[in-house]
Amino acid sequence: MGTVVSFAVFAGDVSPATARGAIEEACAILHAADATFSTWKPASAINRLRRGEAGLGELPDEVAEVLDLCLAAHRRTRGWFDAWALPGGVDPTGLVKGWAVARAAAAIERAGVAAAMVNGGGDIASFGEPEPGRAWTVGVQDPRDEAALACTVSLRGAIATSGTYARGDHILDPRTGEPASPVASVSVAGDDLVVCESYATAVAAGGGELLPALVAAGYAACIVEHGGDVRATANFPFAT
Amino acid sequence: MKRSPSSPRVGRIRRFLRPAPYVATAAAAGMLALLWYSPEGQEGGGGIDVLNGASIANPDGSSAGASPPVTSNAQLRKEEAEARRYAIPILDGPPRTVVGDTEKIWRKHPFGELRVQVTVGGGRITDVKMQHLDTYDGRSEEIANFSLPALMLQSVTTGNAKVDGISSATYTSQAYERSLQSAIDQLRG
Repeated sequence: MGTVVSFAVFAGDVSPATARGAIEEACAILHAADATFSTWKPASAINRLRRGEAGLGELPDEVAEVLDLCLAAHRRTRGWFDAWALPGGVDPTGLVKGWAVARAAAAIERAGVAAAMVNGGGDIASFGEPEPGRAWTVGVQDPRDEAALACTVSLRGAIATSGTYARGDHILDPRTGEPASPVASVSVAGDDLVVCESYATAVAAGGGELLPALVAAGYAACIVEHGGDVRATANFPFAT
Repeated sequence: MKRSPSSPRVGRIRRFLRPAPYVATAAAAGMLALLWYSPEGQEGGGGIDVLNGASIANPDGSSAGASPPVTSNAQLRKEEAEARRYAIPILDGPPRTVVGDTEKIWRKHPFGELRVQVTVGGGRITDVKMQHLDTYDGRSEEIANFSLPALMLQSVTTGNAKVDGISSATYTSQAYERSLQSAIDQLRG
């Protein structure tokens, strides 16, 4: 996946050994996901599939699971998220990071840890509260200034941010194959990080038409425009 | 349930954190994971006790041997087991700075080179800096903006806003990660 993942963990009532074991399990999940889905590694399962060397039945079950999620994301975003858009075969990279981060957070939650936040290069999954009655506070990076925040979010659940500022060409309009950059960045918050990530990518690529559907599905979006203005759906959980 | 600074629950977390700053590495899988203890928030109200960590995937496994091809769930489980076995403590001790390898930046063609330096102390990573950066077409500044200390250091204060994390659309240079990993390999010694 080529990114850095950070953890904030409150052990709560579980033992230190349990909390540490949960973090190690989360790391192992991330490493395994990277080994399976990295398009940088020639021997990864996803590359074997892309080269036609192996069918889904011969690959880890996770490959079929992720491709199903890509298909669902394609439907959910009316084609704005498209893992099949580029030449070279299916590329689930745009969704795998969120999927892996969510799995890592779920493993920590299963261990009985009170609260944790897993941040995979800006895609965040969380559960619990860092302090009683306080949600996680997450900053949305200002697209024009790495050291500044565009806004802060009171987060319960997940948030993903997609943008055109970090690497000018990393979101393509699947309908034209051309770079799309109508907005500087889009953050989507809600329960499921994979859904957040698919909506954020889709809206950033030009799918502003999806905003009503996104809200109807229980998600909230915040858009930072190139000029620095911040617009958001009415349900977006800004921190006060 | 109210949790005050003197409650047994918080005490237990602190006992866990104080003696246990460590880095866990998983060299066999061409991966590296690190965890560090963040002391932020232990002074004064409104702070948080956190255990921070980072997991860095080495994009090609070159510094630690190539990963075996993953062909089955059994293989995946084996890799997970290996990743667990390589957890060792390393961030203890006095502050020190190490410099990573110089790595080529690729974008279809060689595009430039960079080198990072990592400073650790008090059981945590305190700084990650681009020590050297040179691109062949003068776009060094753009690459520099791909660096990620803000994400790694987790607790960032901007104005009066104390945040637990940053959501962003990051792009991290593969060369940056390779250099960072080589620096952390040195710390592992």
